[in-house]
Amino acid sequence: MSTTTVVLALVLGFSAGALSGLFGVGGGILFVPTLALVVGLSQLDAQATSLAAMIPVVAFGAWQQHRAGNVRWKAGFAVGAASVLGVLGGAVLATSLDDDLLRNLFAVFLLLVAAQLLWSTRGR
Amino acid sequence: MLPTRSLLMLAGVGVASGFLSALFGVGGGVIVVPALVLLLGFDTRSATGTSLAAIGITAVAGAFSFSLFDHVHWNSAALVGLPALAGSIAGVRLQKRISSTTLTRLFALFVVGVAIVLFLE
Repeated sequence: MSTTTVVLALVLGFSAGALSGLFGVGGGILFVPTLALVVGLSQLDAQATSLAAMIPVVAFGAWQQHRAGNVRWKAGFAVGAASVLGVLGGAVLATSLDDDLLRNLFAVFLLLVAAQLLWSTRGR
Repeated sequence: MLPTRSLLMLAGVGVASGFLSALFGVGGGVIVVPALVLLLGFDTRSATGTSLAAIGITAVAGAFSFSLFDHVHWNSAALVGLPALAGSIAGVRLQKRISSTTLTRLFALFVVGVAIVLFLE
C-alpha cells in the first residue's frame, strides 16, 4: 500500500465516521466505496472488510446510547440474534455473485439510501 | 418478557437486516431504525440506540462468517475503522450544533455521485 493510499484511507475513514454520526447512516455505505476504490479491494472483500471496520464504531456508539438510556436490550438482542440467520443467507448470496454484478447492486443500494435521505428532508 | 407477536416482528426485522448487511457490507440500520419505529412503535431515540446494539451483533457475525473464507482484510479494516471511531465522536458533537436540511441534501447528492463512480468502475 502506498503512502498516498494510507493517508487517503485514514481521511476517508474519519469522514465516514463523522458522516455516520451526523446523518445517522451507518459507516458501511462509505467504508465499502473507500475500500473498493481507494484501497483497491474486490467488491466482495471490500464489503466483508467494511463489516469488520464498523465493529469499533458500532460498539462505541451502542455503549454511548446505553449510557443515554436509549437501548432496549431485549429487543436489540432479539433483532441481533435473528440477524445471524439473515447474515448466513446474505453471505451465501454475496459470495456466489459475480463481483461486477455485486458492485452494481451495491451502487443501486446507494441510490436507494440517497432517496431515503432526500425523503427524510421533505417539507423541511 | 416480550409478547410473542413483538418477538416475531423483531426476529423478522433481524433476519431482513442481517441479509442486507451481509449482501452489501453495511450495518442494516437502514432497515432496523424505520422498522422499530413503524412496526413496533419505538421513538426515534430508542430505535437508533437499540439498532446500534443489534448491529453490533450483526457486524461481528458478518465479519466472522466472511473471515472464514479469507474475505476480510484486517489491516484495511483497522485503517478505516479506527479513524472512523474518532470521526463518529466528532460527528455526534457537530450534530448537536447544526441541524441542516441543506447538508443532508448535499450528502444525498454525494452518495449519488459515489454510486455513479461505482457503476462506471
